[in-house]
Amino acid sequence: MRNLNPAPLLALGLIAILFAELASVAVAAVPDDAELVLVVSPPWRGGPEAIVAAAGGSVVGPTNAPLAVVATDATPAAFKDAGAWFLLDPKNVPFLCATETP
Amino acid sequence: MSTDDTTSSKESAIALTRKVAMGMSPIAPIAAFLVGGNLTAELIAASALLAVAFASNRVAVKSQAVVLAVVLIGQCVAFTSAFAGHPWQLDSHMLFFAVLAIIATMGSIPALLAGVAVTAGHHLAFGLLAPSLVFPSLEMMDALGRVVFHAAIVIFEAAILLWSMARSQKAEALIISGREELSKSAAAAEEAQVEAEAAREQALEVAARTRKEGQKAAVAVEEISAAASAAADTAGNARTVVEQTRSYAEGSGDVVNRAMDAMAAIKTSSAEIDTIITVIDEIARQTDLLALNAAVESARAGEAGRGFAVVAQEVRKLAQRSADASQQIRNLVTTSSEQVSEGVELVGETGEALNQILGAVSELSELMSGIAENAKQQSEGLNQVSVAISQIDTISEDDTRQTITSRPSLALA
Repeated sequence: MRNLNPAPLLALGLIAILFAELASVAVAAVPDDAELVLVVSPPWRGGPEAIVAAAGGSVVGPTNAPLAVVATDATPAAFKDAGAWFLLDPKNVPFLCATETP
Repeated sequence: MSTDDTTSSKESAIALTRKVAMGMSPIAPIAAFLVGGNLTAELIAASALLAVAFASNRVAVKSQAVVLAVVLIGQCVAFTSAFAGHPWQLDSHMLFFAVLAIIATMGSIPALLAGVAVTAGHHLAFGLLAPSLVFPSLEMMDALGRVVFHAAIVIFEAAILLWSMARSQKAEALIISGREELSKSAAAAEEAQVEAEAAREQALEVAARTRKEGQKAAVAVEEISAAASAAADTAGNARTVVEQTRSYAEGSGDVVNRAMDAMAAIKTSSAEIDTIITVIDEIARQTDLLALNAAVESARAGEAGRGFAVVAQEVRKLAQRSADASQQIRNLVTTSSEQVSEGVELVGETGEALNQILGAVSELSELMSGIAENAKQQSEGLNQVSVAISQIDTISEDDTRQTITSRPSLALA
């Protein structure tokens, strides 16, 4: 009996890969009392700077990414209420081929 | 190694790879546990990949390798993500290279390409694109350089593995081709052996038939030889009889000659008898004249001579009867002479006929001699033919024995 369609298996495997990779980002979850947060937000709501401003926070540093900025002066809950997708600890974000986080 | 053998070997390699993939499932959760990674997430991912690896046995063989390649690369991703935030995360990348080599053992180019594609997609998405989107202060050039460096190594390894697989498949194809050629040669040899065996059987049948016919011919020739010998003997006997016949004919010629001599003697005697009869005739005539003179004288004598006349009359009658008798004898002698002459002619003809018979018998004797000689030569020739047939029979028997004894070597060939 070898009549199983391989496409669902391939899809499940790719989903597992995606899940494992996204799960690694969870190690950079910010605590509730964090002072510096990496605010990741959609670009269609004014960008991350607008989200930070809406939350009452302020952007840290001179350079910004298209979907995220490092922010402070507001609670993580405020950033999420302002429309952020998720918040990360900027000191602990893991990336595949980087030897160290900035 | 036939095509079936190759398929079986490939299925065996896929089955072994499946066991490796399933055996690698605990590695990522264990690593997460040891380095403080996201254990729950790694358990979920590892379980999903284990299920996919297990279920891969249910898809078509040609797709199993691709599914297992995705599972193995997924386990690498899970293993690397288990090291998230850990200094060894970069070192965990080495598992990708080991896994690509494991994928290559399945001998499936699509599977290897799928593994490389998933690795490249994963690295581009999560090693380059995602950081550039979300991390403002990341040194992009540094990240890009590392990703490109890793990609170059992956591509190099994949190229080496593809080249190796292509060589292996080419060698495999050559081996299969060689085996097929060998199989064809073996089949041809077997066919030739069958044909040789059939020819040998046919040769045995022909030899047996030849021997049988030869034996019949030998018997027939022996019979003919015996008949020729008997004919020669008969011809010899006939020649003897002819010789005897010629001897008899020659003897008959002598008899004829003697008969002709006897006839001549009879003829001479008849002439002498005729002479004697002439004398007797003369005597009878003179006696008649004397009797007539006596009668005349007795008549002259009268009565006194009457008695004498009677005597003279009687003498005259006797002379007449004597003349008549001599005439009859002459007639008989004449007839006898004529018959003797005729007999001489007949005896002469008989002699000529006997001479002709003698010539014919002589010719017949020569012919019988020729027949006897020919029959003798024929008998000797037939004896030689009989000997030749006997030798042919012996040769045929030897050939048959050699053909039978050569059978085991033929079977071993």
